[in-house]
Amino acid sequence: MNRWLEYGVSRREFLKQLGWLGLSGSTFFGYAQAARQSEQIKNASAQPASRIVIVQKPGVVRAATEERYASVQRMLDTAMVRLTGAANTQQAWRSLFTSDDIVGIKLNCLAGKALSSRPEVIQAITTRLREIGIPGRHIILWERSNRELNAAGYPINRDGNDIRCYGTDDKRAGYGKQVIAGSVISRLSKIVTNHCTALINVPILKDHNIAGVTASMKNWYGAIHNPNKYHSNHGDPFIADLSTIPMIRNKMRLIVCDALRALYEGGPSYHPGGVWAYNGLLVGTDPVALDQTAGLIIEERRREAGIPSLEAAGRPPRYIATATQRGLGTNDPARMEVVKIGI
Amino acid sequence: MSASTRREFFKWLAAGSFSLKFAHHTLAETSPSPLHEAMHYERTEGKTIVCQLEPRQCEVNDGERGFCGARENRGGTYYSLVYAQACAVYAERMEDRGFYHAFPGRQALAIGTAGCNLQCQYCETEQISQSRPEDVEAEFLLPEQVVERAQAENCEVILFTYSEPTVFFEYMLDTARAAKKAGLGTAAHTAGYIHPGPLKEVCAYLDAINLDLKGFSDDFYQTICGVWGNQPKLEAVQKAIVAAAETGTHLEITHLIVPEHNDNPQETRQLCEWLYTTLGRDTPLHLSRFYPNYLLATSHATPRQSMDSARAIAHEVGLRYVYLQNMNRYEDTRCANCGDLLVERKRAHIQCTGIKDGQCKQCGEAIRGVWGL
Amino acid sequence: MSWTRRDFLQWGACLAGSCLAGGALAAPVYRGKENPTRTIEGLPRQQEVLYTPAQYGRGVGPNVQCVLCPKYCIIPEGKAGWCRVRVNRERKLQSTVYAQPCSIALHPMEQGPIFHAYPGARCLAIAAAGCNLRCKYCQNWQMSQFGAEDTLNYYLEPAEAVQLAIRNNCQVLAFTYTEPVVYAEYVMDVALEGKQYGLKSVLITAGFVDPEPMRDLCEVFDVVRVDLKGFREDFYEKVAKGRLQPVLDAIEVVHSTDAWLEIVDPIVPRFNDKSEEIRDMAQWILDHLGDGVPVHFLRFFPAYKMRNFPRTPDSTLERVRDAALETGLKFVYLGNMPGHEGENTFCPRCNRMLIHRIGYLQVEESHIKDGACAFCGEPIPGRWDI
Repeated sequence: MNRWLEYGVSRREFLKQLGWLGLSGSTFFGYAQAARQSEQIKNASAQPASRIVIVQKPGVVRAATEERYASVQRMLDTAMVRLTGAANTQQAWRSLFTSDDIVGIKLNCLAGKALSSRPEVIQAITTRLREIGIPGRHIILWERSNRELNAAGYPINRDGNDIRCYGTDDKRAGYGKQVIAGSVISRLSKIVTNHCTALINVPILKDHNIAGVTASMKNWYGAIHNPNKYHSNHGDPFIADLSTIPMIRNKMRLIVCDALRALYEGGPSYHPGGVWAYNGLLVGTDPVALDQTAGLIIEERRREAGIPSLEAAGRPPRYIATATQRGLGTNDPARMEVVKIGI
Repeated sequence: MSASTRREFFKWLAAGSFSLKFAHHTLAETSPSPLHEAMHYERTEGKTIVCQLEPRQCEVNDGERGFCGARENRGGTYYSLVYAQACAVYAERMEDRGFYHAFPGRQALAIGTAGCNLQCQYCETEQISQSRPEDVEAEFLLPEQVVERAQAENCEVILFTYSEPTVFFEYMLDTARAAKKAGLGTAAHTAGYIHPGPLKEVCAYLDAINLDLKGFSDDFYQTICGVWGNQPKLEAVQKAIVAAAETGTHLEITHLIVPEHNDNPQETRQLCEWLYTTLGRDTPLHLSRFYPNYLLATSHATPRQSMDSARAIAHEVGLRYVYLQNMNRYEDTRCANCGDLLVERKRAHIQCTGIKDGQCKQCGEAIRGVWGL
Repeated sequence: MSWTRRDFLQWGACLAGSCLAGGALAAPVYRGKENPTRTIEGLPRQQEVLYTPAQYGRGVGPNVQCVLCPKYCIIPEGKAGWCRVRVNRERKLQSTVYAQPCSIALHPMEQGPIFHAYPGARCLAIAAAGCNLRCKYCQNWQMSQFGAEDTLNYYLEPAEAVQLAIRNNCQVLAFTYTEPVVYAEYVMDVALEGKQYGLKSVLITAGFVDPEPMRDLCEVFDVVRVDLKGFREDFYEKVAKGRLQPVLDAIEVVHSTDAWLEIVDPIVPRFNDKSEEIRDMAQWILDHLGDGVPVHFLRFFPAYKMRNFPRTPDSTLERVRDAALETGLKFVYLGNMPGHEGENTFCPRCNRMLIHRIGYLQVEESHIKDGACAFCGEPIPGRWDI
């Protein structure tokens, strides 16, 4: 008992984890084990583990609008507090952002209205950012193009006084100087290079017909002018190389992966047959650990649905292991701490 | 000119100038720029397509582009974004663009568009080949207009080169067809990273083709040319060379020698032996000097010793027409049989005096090439 | 009166020309009586820049690449390369300084410094604007660090240049002060024209050239004097914005041809004066070029962007010379040190003084007979007869 308390896991959460373990079978047995192992490692070397918090609330996507917004807010708050170990929500956000930051929120609007970063999540994030003193005009919601943002239901607001929202192709932005990402030369969105001081990555948990899984690292394809050069060899090592660009790596403070409705087959564009309501958010700061977790969730769902695993479908997300080699994070279960919270 | 085509033409023209004026990153998405449906692709599930033009076989999702950046999937239809968008149009000598046995000394109208399906680290035209169509200035030139331009500039040949003709395949095909109709010569200089089917299709309208054999190992194609993973590499180019040879189009081979990457004698020998057995001893081979560019900008130009020894190896293997390129001067062509001067190349003027009806005037040896229109 | 930048530079160049005799070459200290360095006046001026097609260019896509020097500039339309005088005009590589030199002077061979070729011969020294390096201690930056638009130019066709040399009793045509390689077409044409009249030609270059053009130049020139400004890559990068390896390659090319080679190294205290570096350099020369190549170490004078550095002390130069001699080089000279024994040529066998020089301008006595020591018969490499 004391041991659990020592590492910041309450008894209730522990019991909940055990409950989830019973419910969802083998995969999360692995996670629980990983969490325990990670604590052992912590004991040994005092090395901080990469913590990923999964918050789920069954039925949230089917709830009425108001209730849905409120639930998502609560999910995010729970996750943030758990992720940072802070005493309350404000402290949690203050530990990652200051009121001087100009925060760019990278959405994922590729799949249109049906499966883009949901307004509930964005609302939840921006509410908390405002609370810690970041004015609305210092929050930028962005994507590759205005067209995609519009299609996903985000109206363009390039210089209003409230939250900004525009694509890199907007006349306000554009692509800046060349950077080298591994073996490819790209031009980085000026939103990343010039407009923001901090980035929040809000991807969608999706299957990807080329890369296997698209979650946090793959979402940066929307920050460069030539993503077509990165699709060879199932995105390996290009996806990892992209995240090594210092401008992206240093500015990215938080990942909130929207998995309220996720896609396990037929991605990355909207594919009605492959969508399921996971009713969850994945929150973390380590992109590799988050993608690894996301990958396991998709694999799990594919197994339940009785379709071949990503490996068998010929597109295992190898780039995740490459990203570990590049030092972007870890996909080693022993060094990851996956906390699963149900509300 | 009929009313409908005229109207169409103006529409295209307006679109072209619009896109020039607002060279913008999503030109293709926001402006009604001329779209031309691409050839050689297949639809798979949903709106994803698979490009069947070249061995990379890009799987392209809706709204995305292939590796070349010049072809885009819109709602399950694959479009060429560079059709009639020539970003380099210049009159040049055939010799300057790597042809020694095709139309010697003649002026060619050389054209190229943005995009390339390789990503060679030493690319010298990276400003256009590694750029997207909306990022470079382009001139709107329909195939017929290219022919008109060639005639206006006294060019006897239309040459597809600069970036990579494969990515503007549809444009090349239509232009070559129009050029043949107008009685002009046609030629293309390509890296040969293309499927045999489409290559044969265009070879029917080409008098001469210069194919790059950039290295003779998969490793070179992977590390230097950017062909990753399990995509076919050297083998694909070899297939293309064999296919081109089968069509009967005059074929020349270019091999760029990059120090420390493909200049070891063993690799050169294997390459020459393969050429000898596959294409015969009379196919002209251009050994090209490398200059540091692009990602290899910090390395050194190929030293003369490497160039000379590579040529010696090629001669040893039995190849009879081996030229050094990028050495600041042209080389003469001499009959491999009797040594008589066939084409004299001086800086200012090039004379083809020793050939009649494709034969050496002196000894009657058949000289492979395209010597007249 | 409004002063444009061009006016100012022209005025400056005139002033420098008249005060320092022909654009301030490493400030000659002694003025020889018989062979004074002087500028030639009264030549036709060229107001507008003329463009002349240049060699060593190749079309790459919409641009032109100049492959003359290891910068291998890819030049967009209307722009100039790194050297400022080779431009892309109508997608052709063109030179802005062909037949448009900005300085024409007379001086003796020794001022090169070139000690083993045509001693005491009179040179017509021609220089045009432009350089492909950015040496921070450049002594001629008024010419080398500007393009043809900013300098005051003459108009001098190759044939006229040769006639001018003959009129002034010159035996040698020299290209110096700036980087003659960046106007390679002009210097080759002048040298070839001079050959028909029996004039010798000298190229004084920093050697930052692609080996192929260097080979072409060596076929034309009788003497090529190359700078080897240091023997460390980072020195070349920091002080000259160049690279060392291409210079070494170019020197080897010169050595492999018939042209006579001498090497010059300006010694800048704290930058390239370490004995270890000098020994490495001497060893490289010994291994690749042999012991007969004359090597000159020059005193550095504060100039251009290194005005606040002290001039090289005598002791440093003597130490450097000793290091090179110890390594096994036979002919090591010191420059900008008039009256020093390091200016004289000694026989490597009998150690007698063969050529006695004072400053760059005076050859006092010479004991070289048929290319050999007059005392012991040891052959002395060089070009001793015109």
